[in-house]
Amino acid sequence: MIRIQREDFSIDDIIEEIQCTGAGALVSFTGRVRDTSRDGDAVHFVEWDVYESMALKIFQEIRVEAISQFGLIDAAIVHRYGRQQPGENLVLIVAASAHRKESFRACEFMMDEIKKRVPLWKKEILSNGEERWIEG
Amino acid sequence: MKIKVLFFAALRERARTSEIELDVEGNSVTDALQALEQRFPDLTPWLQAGRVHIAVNDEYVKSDTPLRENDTLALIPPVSGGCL
Repeated sequence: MIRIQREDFSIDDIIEEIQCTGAGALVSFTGRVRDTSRDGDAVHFVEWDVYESMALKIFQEIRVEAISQFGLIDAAIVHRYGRQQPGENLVLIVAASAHRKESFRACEFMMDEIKKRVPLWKKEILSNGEERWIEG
Repeated sequence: MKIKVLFFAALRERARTSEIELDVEGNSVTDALQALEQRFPDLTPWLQAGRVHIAVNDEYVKSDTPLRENDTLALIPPVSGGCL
């Protein structure tokens, strides 16, 4: 499952849709909006821009690579765009496998690849009024 | 030829638009980038410094990639995907 959406997600709802037959392990990673930037400045809110058609395609490529490379039973990626406040959910990755090692590694792999390849951009709007697009 | 060009994030703010139709003399991504620099001089530092990746029809491509009529070219600034 791949979803790109504005609205918040429910981890339980997503996990219910994962194929779990034979899965002894289900590992999920949730990324949330931090209240400080990398430089330690207070973040008021963030806005995400996305090239949706290409992002969906690359998310699916990453999901398929993870399933193949780590022998997963299933995997899901959900990523929000638009505006979020600090503390809100931003991204969810779920991996299901027979044993736990593969799912832990697959979640890390998928998150690393998302950060490198997916056309998503974050703008931080700081509490001091500054705004900046984050690169990398 | 006519192609569609998509702008995102900081480039969208600089170009003040998210999408344009562009007339390109020539038939490669390089030709399209030259046409963009003429139309949007503010984007030149980005385009010439190699800070922007190029995608055509949802695929990352190199600058010598040929273009066809009605292709969609996207300027991809450095991505910030996922979360910190």
